[in-house]
Amino acid sequence: MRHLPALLALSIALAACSIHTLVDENTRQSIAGRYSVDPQVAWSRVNQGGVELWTVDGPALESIRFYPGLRDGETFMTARDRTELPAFRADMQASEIMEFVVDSIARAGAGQVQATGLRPMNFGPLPGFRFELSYLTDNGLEMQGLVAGAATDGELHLIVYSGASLYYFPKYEDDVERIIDSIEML
Amino acid sequence: MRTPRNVVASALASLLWTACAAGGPVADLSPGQRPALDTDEAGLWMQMDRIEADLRTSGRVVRDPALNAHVRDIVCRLAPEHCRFVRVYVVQAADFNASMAPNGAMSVWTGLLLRVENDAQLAYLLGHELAHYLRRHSVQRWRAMHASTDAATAFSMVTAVAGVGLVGVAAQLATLDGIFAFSRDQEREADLIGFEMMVDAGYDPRQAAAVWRALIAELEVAEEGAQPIFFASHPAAEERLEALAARADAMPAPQGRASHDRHDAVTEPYRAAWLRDELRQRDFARAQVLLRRLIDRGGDLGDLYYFEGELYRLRGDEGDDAKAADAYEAALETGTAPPETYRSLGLVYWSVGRLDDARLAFEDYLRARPDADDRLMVEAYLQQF
Repeated sequence: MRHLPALLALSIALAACSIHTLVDENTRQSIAGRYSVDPQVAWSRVNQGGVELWTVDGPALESIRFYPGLRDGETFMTARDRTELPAFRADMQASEIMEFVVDSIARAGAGQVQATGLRPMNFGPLPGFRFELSYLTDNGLEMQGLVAGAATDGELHLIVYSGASLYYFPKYEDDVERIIDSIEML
Repeated sequence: MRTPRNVVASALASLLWTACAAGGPVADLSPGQRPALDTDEAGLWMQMDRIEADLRTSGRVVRDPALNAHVRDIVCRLAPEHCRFVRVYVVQAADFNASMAPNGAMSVWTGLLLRVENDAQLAYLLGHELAHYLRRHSVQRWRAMHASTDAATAFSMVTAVAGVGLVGVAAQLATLDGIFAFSRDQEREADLIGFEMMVDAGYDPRQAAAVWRALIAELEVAEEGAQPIFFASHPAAEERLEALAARADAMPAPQGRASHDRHDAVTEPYRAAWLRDELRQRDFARAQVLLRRLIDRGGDLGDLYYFEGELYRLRGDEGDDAKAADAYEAALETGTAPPETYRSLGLVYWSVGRLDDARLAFEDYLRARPDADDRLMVEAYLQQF
């Protein structure tokens, strides 16, 4: 019985992890206290282990994920198989960060992952990068994505927007562009 | 979406509903034979049909006609009377694995195709899988397990095994293959039948043992817990190598088959992508053994040295920057290295502070790949030197 409070706390914590809240589209939103953005759309928001996930139609169809401040040695996704995952290294250049993202998505189970158009682009006031993604899900669904990020002071900020190529990705693509354009560091 | 665990649980639950006979010998599968509907085997097939339907649309199935025809042609040469009842799926996955579901769905992973050196080696492995199917090993194993334990225990054992995550739906057939963890005797029988099939079809019998010889080298350095799935339920590779080598030694070498070997030509367009998949596993010791073997075989050395450099760059241990640079330089000396070699060389030089060399390498990259779609990024790098 002495474990009961701990179990209760754990179950409450787990429940809290999956609480979705509605994003007020007219109010700037803080991303983990690191930067803020104009949300554009009334997204449904959930925090998954420090990662902010925003979606309207469900993460399987489209989502924007904010990874604030990934540190040296940390991984980006969870793998379905047994060997080691790609990890972020603080001395990575943009080409290597793109490779890290692509390898992680492939290890998470996506097929035919391709990244294109790596180019410099500011992330708020930080010098950053952008690129586009395409891949297939386990179910054969064609997905598209865009990634914005910046590595600064040994930390990696990433924003990954992905969605089904048919209808869902284009549906909010312009809104996501405006979200990225609106980044202000806190 | 169904998870592998759920699929397997439902498969086994349905089997538990079906009164099944005690384990024992069963007749070989006749061409086109399907089990009677009131049997446990029919329940198994039905569940496999559902998993196969998911696999059919999976994003990890490689649909290239030439590659599929290559595997399929060998299946048909090995078992011509059964071949139209076998469906082959080439699955993009970096591991040495193939599996055969009891309903005739065969999956062959690209990691296996990368490691196999010729048609004969592939024929032996496909023959092994076909043997499980033809001898109906899955249902034999299920019945034996059901007879030796109570149903609930069998169920919990099986679902525990099924919880081992692999690569999504594409791996479900392999997972189920593992669940029915063929007995060592069944594996030996499949080896024997696979060997006989390859010999009857005119392939070089010595290649069966060569498969294991190469894999043992990888097995010895594999990360703990990351050994090839194919080995998980199989007798020791050394035992198989010895048995197959002895059997091959007792036979005359076949005549005139090597000239028809298509494996290298058919898989060549995919080799770079499959090597990239191997590096994504981050099991660098194993990838190093594989690369060294491919280099020793004398493939496209420009590509292979480039990937050796990539291995060191990604591993990032002490001294790896220098090893990566050496490998990239060796790749470039061959004259067949991909233009990306310059870019990787630039990144390595940059990380060790050789900025002039980095600048030259990035400039070479843009010259070698004038239409590079990351040109703007590389130009931004150059502005920093």
